Amino acid sequence: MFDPVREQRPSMSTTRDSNRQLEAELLGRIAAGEEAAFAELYDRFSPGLYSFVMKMVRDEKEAQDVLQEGFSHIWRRASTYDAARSSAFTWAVMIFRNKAIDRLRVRQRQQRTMDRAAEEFGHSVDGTEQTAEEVDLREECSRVRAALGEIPGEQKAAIELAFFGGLTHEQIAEKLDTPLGTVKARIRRGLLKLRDCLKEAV
Amino acid sequence: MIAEDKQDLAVEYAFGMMDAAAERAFEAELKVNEELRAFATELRESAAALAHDAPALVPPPELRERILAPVRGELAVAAAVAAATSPVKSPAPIEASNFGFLPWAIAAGLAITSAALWMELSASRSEALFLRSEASALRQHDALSQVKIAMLSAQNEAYAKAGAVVVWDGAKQRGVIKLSNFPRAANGKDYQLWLIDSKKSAPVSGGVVPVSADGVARVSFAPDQPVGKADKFAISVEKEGGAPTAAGPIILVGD
Repeated sequence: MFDPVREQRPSMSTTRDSNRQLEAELLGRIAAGEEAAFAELYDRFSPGLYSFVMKMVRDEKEAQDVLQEGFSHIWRRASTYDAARSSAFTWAVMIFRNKAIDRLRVRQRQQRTMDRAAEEFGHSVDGTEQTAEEVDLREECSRVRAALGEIPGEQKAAIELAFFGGLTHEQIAEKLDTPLGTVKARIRRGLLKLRDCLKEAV
Repeated sequence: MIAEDKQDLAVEYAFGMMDAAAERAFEAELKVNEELRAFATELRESAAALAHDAPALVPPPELRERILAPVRGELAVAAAVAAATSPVKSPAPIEASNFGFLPWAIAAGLAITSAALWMELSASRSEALFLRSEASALRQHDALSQVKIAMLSAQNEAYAKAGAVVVWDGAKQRGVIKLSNFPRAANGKDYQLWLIDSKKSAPVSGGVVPVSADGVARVSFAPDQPVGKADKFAISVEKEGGAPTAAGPIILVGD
């Protein structure tokens, strides 16, 4: 039966497409040096990116620094964005992820230095684990979480180590004490499954 | 159908696991292989979607201004440069006289000079702001610089053979101290570690350092209050159990 209200409301995929187009246009305007577009992109992206970076670095101050570096990169390099290769959000996620990974690597080096010192002195220095505060889930988050729920646990674990931990196949294999080929297959199958689930959810 | 090894490369590409050379080679292949390109793009989008699998948080409001202010400053400088380099508009014709151009020439000269001075000032302010931000980012980036290792030296003959090393992580506000060749503390006395922050009026206690019968100590410590910058470390002899403020003789100091 025809439902005028439902017919008038844009579908989720239409909304997503128009958002993508708008965000790509914002990057074009930022490349032209428009401050208002930069502010608008910040308002659209910063909550999602901050949450994501916090999950990676687990430190508020570091997450804020990563956001500052990442947005500064976007301001200076917006002209390099290619809409044919990825959505603006994906482009931004990869920039912020790389910056967060840089921080994690520095931290790992620092931890190794402390471990060496502590080992020499015969005492270990415990790390503190910070927990990110959970608040409301947004629609996109629910969609991704639902899709992740469809992925077998071992595949999901390997994917999360790759994405949030910034680890290579080899490092994941070592961490999970699993053969490299198995890890590659888990990540490949998991990511393909995620892709399919996200497509179905549209 | 895309071969499994190519799929694995697309996965590595999606997760940014490739080194620069491998990424360049893969991107060259993507340019000529449409099917692989579409596949790699889908995987990259799917990987980026994982960002949504994080507990929703809101960045602090002041961060917005911290990020937008440098951009505003940069644009102001660019505008000033554009204004100063654009041709000076000729004034409306005035009645001809031998020196009729002089006031306009002076005004134009003053305008250009003022614009140039303002530009220079704005540019240096903006540059200073940018450099400060970069320096701060670099300092934070190189977290190793936050780990300080200090060798402490004896301040009196009785401790000439004693050794003390402090490893201090300012970011985590924790450290480790190792002592060697230390005489046992006298009855009713203890050795106590102090962190000296020049911005504080008094040394901050790092706690008591118990020395074993063979004259060594290995202790993890955390100061009893936050320390901004530990310029120096010192060990003093205090009453048993430690003192809230340094009162006894300082026997070793180092930075």
